[in-house]
Amino acid sequence: MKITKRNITGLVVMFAALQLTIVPAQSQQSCPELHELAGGSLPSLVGDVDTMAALVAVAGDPGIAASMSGDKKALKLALNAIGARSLKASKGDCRFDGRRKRSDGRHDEEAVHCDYKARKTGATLSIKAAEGRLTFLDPTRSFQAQTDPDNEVTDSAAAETIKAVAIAFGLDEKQLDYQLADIARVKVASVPLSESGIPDTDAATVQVAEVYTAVPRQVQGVGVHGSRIQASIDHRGQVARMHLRWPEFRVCEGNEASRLGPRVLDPSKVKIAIAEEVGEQWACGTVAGLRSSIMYVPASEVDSPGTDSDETANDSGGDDDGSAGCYVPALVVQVTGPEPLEDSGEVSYAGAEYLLPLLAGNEDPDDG
Amino acid sequence: MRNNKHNNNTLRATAWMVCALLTVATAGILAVSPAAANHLEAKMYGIDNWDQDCLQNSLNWSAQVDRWYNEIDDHGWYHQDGRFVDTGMDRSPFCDPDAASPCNDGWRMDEGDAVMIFMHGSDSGNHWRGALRFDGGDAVNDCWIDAPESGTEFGAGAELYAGDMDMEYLHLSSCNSMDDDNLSNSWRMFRDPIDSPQNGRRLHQADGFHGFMWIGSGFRADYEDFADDAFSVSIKDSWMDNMRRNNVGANNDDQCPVALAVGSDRADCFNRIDNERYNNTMSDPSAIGYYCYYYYDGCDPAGETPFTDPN
Repeated sequence: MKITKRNITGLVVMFAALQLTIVPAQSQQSCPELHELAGGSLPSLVGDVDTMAALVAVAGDPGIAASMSGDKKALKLALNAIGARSLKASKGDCRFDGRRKRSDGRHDEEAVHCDYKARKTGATLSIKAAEGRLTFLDPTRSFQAQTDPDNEVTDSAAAETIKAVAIAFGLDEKQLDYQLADIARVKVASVPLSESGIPDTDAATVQVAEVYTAVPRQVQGVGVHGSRIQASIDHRGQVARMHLRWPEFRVCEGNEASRLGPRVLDPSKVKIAIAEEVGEQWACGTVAGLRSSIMYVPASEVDSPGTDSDETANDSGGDDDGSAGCYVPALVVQVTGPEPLEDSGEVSYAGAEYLLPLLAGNEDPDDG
Repeated sequence: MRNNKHNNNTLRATAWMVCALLTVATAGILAVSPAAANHLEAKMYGIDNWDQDCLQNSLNWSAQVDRWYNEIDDHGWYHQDGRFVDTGMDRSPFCDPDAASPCNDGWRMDEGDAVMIFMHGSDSGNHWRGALRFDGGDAVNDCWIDAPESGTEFGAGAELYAGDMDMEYLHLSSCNSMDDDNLSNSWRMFRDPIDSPQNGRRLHQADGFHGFMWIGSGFRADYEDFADDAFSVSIKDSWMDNMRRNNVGANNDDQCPVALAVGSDRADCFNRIDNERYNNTMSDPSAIGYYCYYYYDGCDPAGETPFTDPN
């Protein structure tokens, strides 16, 4: 059993019980055990009307759309924060769909998609405001193993950098879930081969290339599925690449707390839904670990138990990345199979994630 | 007059000829343009349903890989050259005829320039192997496609050799496809031991995962962003950025991408892995004197111990 990296106790007290219920990996001999595993994984607040009412009552947040589209001054400040002043949008690089031009002559922010480019460096900034997506890529800051020195940026410096960038790009700092932040070192190794193909490990080299940082989003202590900021920090401490998925957040209409009661799904129904959804793809005896946690999930992604919602999401053309639309509280279920012994040749099943409703009527209407 | 008329006729004939030639040339250019603009081939091969000869759990994997496939042709370099899901997924499209029979990778997988393979994987000895849907019939009876390792080459069990026909970039959306303890053998699939020394063709880069990887709607945008970014920064950077995840599954696991390239020497290897983009492909490596790879130090997935550099 690996050391748990998440510290549940640090979360906001009210929502602490919402987050994770971890079921230790255990062998499962029959389908009833899948039900047992599903039941054991349920957060204790599933089915609690007051909790669900609190979850749907949270205030909305405009995401990056408001701060990054139509406000050149804000964008300039943000670009300064990542040292990308030379990025400019040429004529035609900002695209509007034309239907949303407002009476004041400005374009509705939801319609904008801008691609900025720095001619000298080839750096690019792509903003898809309606989807809450922003990507910054500067190829001149990518590690060149042949010439660049080891990256000595510390964890704390990387954490400070991503925090500063997040604030500069207008993110609400309260939504940055630092407890689940990811800081990791990217290394590069090179190994010479003899003529007969034997690696000469004594002559191998290893360098520290970049520091990767990512911080997921939370609203009032509850994670927002698919929403995060991530950045790769180069050896000078600069942001070499950045990905922001920070769409507008709002709970879907029709989920008002006062009318919620009858729609809150009973834990037993949720348990059955997990077992049905997982059991459709995982044969009895092949589930070794199952985790369930309550998150805000784009309504368009929530599965209907017993149907193949994955196919629906695919067919619908991509509104499955947390990029647009409204959110509902839902159950994120993550499943892993048995871990084969090293070198055994036994199959390794890819981990799988399922998004299940906690409120009746929150299933994807196109689903099934 | 006659001469003038003759001259006029000659001029008309010449003008007609020129117009005709221009028309033919223009038509030719127009006919060729789409292929020339998107002259590289992207292909995806994999499995959603293991419900035939070789039984495994089924997952909707293609929905994830579709996002890569539908993005890569949006940049004017690649065209979609084949989306192969479930049908015909025995070892034939993946295996090299020099290694086993019947094998047809030269006209299938290896005919693409950028290819993504998706299927359950396995850590078998010191190499990756992928779980197939069909066993190929009684004469073949093989539910796995095996990458090479020392001791299995030259027809001794290894089947997957890429790049000796056309492929430059192989992306493995599969568990254990780049386990840390297998990297000293991964370079072997970058060439056909028999054909590559003759024709000079070799794979440039392979990307995969140390340990388990993940499937789900929340992971699909990563595949789209991978294809998108790889036209602006190196394929390696794009893979490493977009495929990294932490805190997934019951043990708060990581998803651990690895990118590996080869080169004639150290500088060549680094130059390739640091600078090859989908729109910046170098000539094939003239030899494999080095391999080099990027990884997340200590990355801790399900299905493997934390990544430890084997050197």
